[in-house]
Amino acid sequence: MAYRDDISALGADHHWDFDGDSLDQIGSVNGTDTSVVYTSAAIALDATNCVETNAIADRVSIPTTTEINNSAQARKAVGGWFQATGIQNPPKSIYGEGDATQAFRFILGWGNSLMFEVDSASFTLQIYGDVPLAPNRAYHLTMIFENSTYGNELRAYLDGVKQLNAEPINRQPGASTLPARSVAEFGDPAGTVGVGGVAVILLAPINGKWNHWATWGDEADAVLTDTEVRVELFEKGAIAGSTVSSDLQPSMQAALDLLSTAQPNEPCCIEVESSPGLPELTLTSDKTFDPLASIHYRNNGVSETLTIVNINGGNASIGSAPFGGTIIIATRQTLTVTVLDNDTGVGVAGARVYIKADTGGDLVAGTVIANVITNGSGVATATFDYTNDQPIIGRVRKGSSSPYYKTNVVSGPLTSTPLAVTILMLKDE
Amino acid sequence: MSAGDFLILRNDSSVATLPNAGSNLDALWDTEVIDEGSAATYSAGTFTFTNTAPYLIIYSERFDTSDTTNNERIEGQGRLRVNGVDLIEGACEGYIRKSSGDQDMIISGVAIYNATATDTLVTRFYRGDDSTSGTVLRVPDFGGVQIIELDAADDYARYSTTSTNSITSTEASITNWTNAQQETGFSRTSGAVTITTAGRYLMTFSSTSSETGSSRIGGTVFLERGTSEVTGVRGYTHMRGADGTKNGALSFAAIVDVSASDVFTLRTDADNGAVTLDSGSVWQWWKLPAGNETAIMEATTGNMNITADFVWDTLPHIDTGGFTATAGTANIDVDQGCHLLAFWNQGKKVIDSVQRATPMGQVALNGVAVNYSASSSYHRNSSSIGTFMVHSGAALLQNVPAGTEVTLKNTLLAASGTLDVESGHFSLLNLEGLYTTYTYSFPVTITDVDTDEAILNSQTNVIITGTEFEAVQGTGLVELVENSNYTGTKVTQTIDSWADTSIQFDTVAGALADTNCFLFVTNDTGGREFIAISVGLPPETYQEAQEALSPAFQHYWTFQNTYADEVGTATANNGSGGSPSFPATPIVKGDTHSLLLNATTEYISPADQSDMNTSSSATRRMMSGWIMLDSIVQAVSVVWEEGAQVNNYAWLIGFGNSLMLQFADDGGDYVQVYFPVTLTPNRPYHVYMEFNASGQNGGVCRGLLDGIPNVLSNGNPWEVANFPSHSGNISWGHEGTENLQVGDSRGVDNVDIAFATPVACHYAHFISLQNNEYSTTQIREEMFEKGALATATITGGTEAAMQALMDAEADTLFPDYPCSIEVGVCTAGSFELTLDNITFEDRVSLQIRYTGVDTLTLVMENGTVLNPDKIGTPYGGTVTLINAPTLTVTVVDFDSRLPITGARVYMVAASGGPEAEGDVLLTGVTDGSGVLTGTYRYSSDQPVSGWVRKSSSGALYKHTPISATITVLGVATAALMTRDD
Repeated sequence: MAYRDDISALGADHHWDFDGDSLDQIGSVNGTDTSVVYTSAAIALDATNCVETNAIADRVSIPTTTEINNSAQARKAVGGWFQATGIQNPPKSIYGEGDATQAFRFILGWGNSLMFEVDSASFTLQIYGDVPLAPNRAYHLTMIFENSTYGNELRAYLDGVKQLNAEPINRQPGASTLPARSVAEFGDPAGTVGVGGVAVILLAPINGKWNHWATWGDEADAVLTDTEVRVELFEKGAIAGSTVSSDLQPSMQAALDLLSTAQPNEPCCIEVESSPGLPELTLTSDKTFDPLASIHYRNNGVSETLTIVNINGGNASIGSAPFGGTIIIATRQTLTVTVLDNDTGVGVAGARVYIKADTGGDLVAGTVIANVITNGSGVATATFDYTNDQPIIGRVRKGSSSPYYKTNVVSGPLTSTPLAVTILMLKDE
Repeated sequence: MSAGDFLILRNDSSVATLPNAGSNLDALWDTEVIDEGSAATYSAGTFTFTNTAPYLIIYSERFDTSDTTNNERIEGQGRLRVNGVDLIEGACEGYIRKSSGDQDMIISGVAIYNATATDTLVTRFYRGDDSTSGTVLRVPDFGGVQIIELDAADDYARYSTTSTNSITSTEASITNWTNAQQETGFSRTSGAVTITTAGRYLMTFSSTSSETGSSRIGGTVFLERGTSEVTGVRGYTHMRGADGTKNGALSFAAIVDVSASDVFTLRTDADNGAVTLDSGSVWQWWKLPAGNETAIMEATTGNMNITADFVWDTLPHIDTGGFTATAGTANIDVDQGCHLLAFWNQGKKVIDSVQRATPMGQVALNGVAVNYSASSSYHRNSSSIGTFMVHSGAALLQNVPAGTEVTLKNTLLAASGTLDVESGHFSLLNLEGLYTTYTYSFPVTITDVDTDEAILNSQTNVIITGTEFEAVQGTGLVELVENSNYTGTKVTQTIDSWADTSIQFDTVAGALADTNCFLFVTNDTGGREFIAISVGLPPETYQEAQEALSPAFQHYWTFQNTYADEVGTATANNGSGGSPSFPATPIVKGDTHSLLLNATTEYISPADQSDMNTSSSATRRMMSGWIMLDSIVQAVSVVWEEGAQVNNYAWLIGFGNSLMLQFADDGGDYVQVYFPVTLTPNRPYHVYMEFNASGQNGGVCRGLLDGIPNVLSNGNPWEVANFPSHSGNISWGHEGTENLQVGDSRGVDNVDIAFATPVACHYAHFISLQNNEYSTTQIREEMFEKGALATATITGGTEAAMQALMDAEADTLFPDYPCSIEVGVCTAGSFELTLDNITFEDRVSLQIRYTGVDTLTLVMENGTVLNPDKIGTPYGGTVTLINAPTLTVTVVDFDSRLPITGARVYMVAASGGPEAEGDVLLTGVTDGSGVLTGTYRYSSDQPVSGWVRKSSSGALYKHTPISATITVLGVATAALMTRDD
């Protein structure tokens, strides 16, 4: 299903994909363009171009509409993709409805700090983005309003992550509905608007880019869940910085290996397509990811399982599988068992270290994790791809050649800290 | 006759060898502490008594060996040798068994000797063992001799045994006494001495001893009143039938509070076999002179094998007026300046878990150990090899000022672990008033110096308040002195005026500039008192620290209940709006107020300034100050601005308390500076703005928050040669009549905004400087670190007191604040504090501020993590961080997997790490969970080895080795033990 269909499936009333025009893809509330252009590449999937403001007075105006601005609303949601090409000096409007005192607004300023603001006569709610928006990096923004008849909460999301730094901190509007407001605009507001309930002239970002903005009116669909915002609106629409295309596993591994080890700040760094006929695909990854990247790996498969194994310092941790597949991110560990004679403290060579999965972990009980013999220093090693804590049954024994030792236990579970234990053995002769 | 005269000498530097058996060390004492009167003379190791009179003689010396040969033992003996003959009075012994770090012994003795004028006295030390491994040396700055002449008129009794006494593990009384001297008030029947008159008496006992077997034997002698032990009046000697350490000696003393007709006996006990006390053992009683003032504290619990002031349980006697003390505390406070006699014994009677421990005791004055007073004893734990242990000591303390806290400071010289005192005694005798020669007739007290015990290097009109300074100065002095015992560098101060309760002087710092030292006042009668003081250090207020900055700034508004410009003439409220106020809400250390703007229309503004807003020649410009917002400000607001419309500097707040600095020149350039954090409400911040025109510092305009440079800006570098005149208001808050343009005027991306004043915002200590700059270090240390408010303060004092304050912060997560913990100045100079599970919010700017100039060592234990970048020493001190991760040994039964309680763990350093191979790193017994824990001061990975055993009680197990490596995370190792029974 195309991204636009995913948006529609969430019950959006209106959807402007801004792919060459500002036509409403769901309803009939088409935008009116003022000096915007559609020449730059899209900033989200399922579009070729985006709408772009390149002067402070540029805007797309949305005609007055009951479902958007021209009615009091107890519920409301607006979201879409936005990108700025630089740090904005004056404060800028990404999207806004209303004026200085009745408003529903996405604002950028003070070093690209992001602010979500909703104003009425009885409240001024502000939610602040956790990080300033990096230039030339697309972000998905969502704001959802519910008065106390419903959730009594203003929610804001950046790349599908709920933002909690707010004033007031409880983000509660109370009983008041959001009163009717002047029209919605992307970019420069035509009328007087404000920040914090005080009149402030806001301008269009230079340059600002938009794709796939949608609105939900006062209806149940407007109360989007955290998962819907993260998975349906963000993860499914994020353009990946790199793609590992469908191929046989060795070729896909080779393609992944060719990618830069240091992955930048992107909405999605690497997407992996499914391998033909392979329901479970495993790739090793030595990539390190910018701490502000929102998705490290996305499995584009519709039913397949993708396992990413961090090796050699790779630190992938944020996986996405929005299209029906599964993603597992593991970290390859070296398990080290040192076996010493209890009386002499000397390493016991030739001892068998046997570790198998117990119930309660990801592995099927009985799966052999290690079955190795200690070397001349009494050390045995094995590798283990860690995802979650794994209970084990472990034994060390040396009963087939002299000197013989009593069996001893290797205790679990295996955790994110690689197993490194010393096992003391008692002679059994 | 000159009763009360005394002489004290000590060993400052000698490291003379205590020779192998057969030779003697007749000690030389190289430093005279004091010669008060004419009790005796000293020359080349020989004392000569001046008078025919009784003398109390106290002596001690510390010896150590660097040799660690195991199973080698040292027996050190001490004797008072008069006219070439060893006395049994004052005989004493020390013992070393070179294992578990036991390499030190203190030999200490005390006794009364009836001297004849011109008798000569030598302090002799010698060895009785036959070991030849290594050498045993004197430890400098530890030992001393104190001789005080007593008054023969005071009642006195001396008894001596007529034959040997065999003492065994069955308690028995010594009965074979003869009356060597028995004066009025004493009578004896067999072993029982009856004292007729109530009062305080000094009791001493001395003996030598021997054993004939091969066992480890401890022999103890203790005092009973009726049938009850007098707590803490007990002595001990340790012997071993190996390496020839078969001879013992003991002497001990105590002040005993006697009721009329009390009956006393001396009782004996041994812990493993028989000890023979030699014939001629001496038991002495001296009735303290009339008018004596004493304090006696006792203990039946408390660990003595630790480095800390010992806490005493009970206070059976105190003469208030002479002393102040409270049961359950460590200190006896001296109420008036005096000389003192101190006596102590710390004994245990049943087995403790620590093997080969050697606890030491030293008298300490205000936390500073007196360097000629010490005692120690050796303890070996095992039911079969010894249970007793007592160390006994005495000291004569000279010129102890009023208010001094006298404590017995314990130090563990060997293995760590608990040794509980079960019979402890600590007593003081105030010699003041007992003898007419002393000069404490008008004891000085000091109440205060300059309000905060801190003065500048050249400060005028410093006021000292107190009592008994005397109405006239006469021979009186005010001095800065390096050490609290009135030694080291002394600098006399310039007196402006002198009165009985106050003195005004001008500081002459001299060699004591920029130090912590002691201010002494000596009055015309010789009364003397001191108070710890800082000279040229944090003494300075924050304002003084700012005004000392170089280069000097042009304007300074402290906002301490004033709008005044402290260095210029730009009074800040030349214009104003609303009702600005100065609430008692300080946002900077030492402040009392701050400026508060509490409405969107409030502001204050000085007149135009030629070196601020009306200057057209600024190539550099800085503005700094402290601000604090009460909440998240929703309206975009002006914290501070200078200029208006298109030309301005401005500090702008908005977008969730994001702070932005703006540098706007209509025709020149435009720069914004951002900070990586938003401002937390109710948390002060120091903000520094710096403008640099083209050609100055690369034209980079920057800001610093809490002294940390910003990481993000837009528009740098500045492209023109200066900043234009910008004659709009200079204002805290927004003046309101003119908008500020945000954005670059040279293009189209700008807008005028009618900003508000943030509600509410506090301000303090704003500084303006043009055409000059401060370094990042100055900004961080002088402007931020010196002014940052702290969440907690470890007030200066003794090391123990400061550690107690730090312990109270254990398990604390310190919140977002400028500074978390301020650590004051320690009386010990350099010192150490341990932090137990203390953690910090990431946004804390300064985790620790140390205000001293010495070295503070911070030991991080139990999850404490300190960030070296967030440790501040703005007054020149040094902070050393030591990571002390946890060592954990878990001992379980191999078959049952159940924990083993009471297993002994012994972990030592193996080769390959920073520690000397064999150093004991962890020893003790496992708890009920089979676990023993300790800490290790980590510097690099340390391999360890050792063993676990349980072979003496309950289920027995085979000896099990352990081997591991201590890393930065410590070590957690397990030992599986198999049964051996």
